[in-house]
Amino acid sequence: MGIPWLQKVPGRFNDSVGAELNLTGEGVAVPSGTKVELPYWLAESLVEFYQRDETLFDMETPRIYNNRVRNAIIAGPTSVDTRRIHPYFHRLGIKFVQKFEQEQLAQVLKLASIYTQFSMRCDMFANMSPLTLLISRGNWTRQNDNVCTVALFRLAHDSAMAMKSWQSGSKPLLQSAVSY
Amino acid sequence: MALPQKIQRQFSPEEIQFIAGNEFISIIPNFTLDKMEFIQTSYGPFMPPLQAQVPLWLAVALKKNRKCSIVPPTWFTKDNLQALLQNEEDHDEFAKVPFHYMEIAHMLIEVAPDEIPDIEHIRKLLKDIRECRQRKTRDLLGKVDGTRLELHNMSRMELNEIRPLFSAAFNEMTKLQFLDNQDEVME
Repeated sequence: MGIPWLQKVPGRFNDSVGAELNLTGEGVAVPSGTKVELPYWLAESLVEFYQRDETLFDMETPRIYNNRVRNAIIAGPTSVDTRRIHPYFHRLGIKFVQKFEQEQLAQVLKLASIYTQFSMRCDMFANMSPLTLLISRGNWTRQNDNVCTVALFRLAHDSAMAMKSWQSGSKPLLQSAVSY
Repeated sequence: MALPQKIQRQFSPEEIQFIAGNEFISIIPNFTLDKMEFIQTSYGPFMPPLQAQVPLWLAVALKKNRKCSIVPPTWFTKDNLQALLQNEEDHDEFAKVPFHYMEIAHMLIEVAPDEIPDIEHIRKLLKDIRECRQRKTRDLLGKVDGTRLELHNMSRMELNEIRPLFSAAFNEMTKLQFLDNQDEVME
């Protein structure tokens, strides 16, 4: 789960922050209303702070989840390459979905789209022939491994390959430990 | 654990085949022996031409040493497999099959091809059944929604095959699932 935490998300400070707290090292104070991009882990913690009934920091939903993308996903879940949009589209999306309740409806909308896309993608993996699997594994795993779909693809692929080699009887029952 | 992840997630097909070795099967021995004593139990008596019930692993070992002939199970005939395939094609649900049908079929075809009539036909039927069931499994994958999943009548090998993918997909779905509930609460 580590890397989605490091992804930067946009937000806005509702209060001025002193120069000594400016982590960029520029040594200047951050006035109220400044728009910044912070890593998710930091933004998530800052959101928790309240001052005079107002949060210290407002996290905004990143542009990668805007209406245009959502609509595109709803229109054709498999036609949108979410990994192109953002390498952690799904995982970061889950974090937002779990974190924010004010955007409930929109999040549910996104949920629906991710859900269909996800299951349809899985379906596509399962439909691949073993040979295609073998070739495509290279293409898929060259991308980032932490991406949810790729991890799932690898699971499906390993199972399919194990079954294939068992059925063809090519694998001897005893194997040296090194070959794994 | 120091084991590779691949082995931690699921059994390998070979291990499932090993487990299936405990299923009983009839053999016709060509030797006479009162009993075979093992630590846990004993098998026998072996008296040709009477049939004896032994675990599959023992039957395979005897067959490899040409000490017996294996009587294929009743479901493992051309007609019954044909009926099974028909049943499988006619219904959307999985048809009821012997829990270890893939492993048993695999072992029988491997060690006793001489005792299975119409073996080529049977091989083809098994392949068709497998493909038909795989198609149903794929349909099932689209239904993973993080609440529940019905896997009735799936065989041991099939369950083992889908376990890593389905459980991972199910976990991902569960992460999104709670939103649905919240939404209902809000309404």
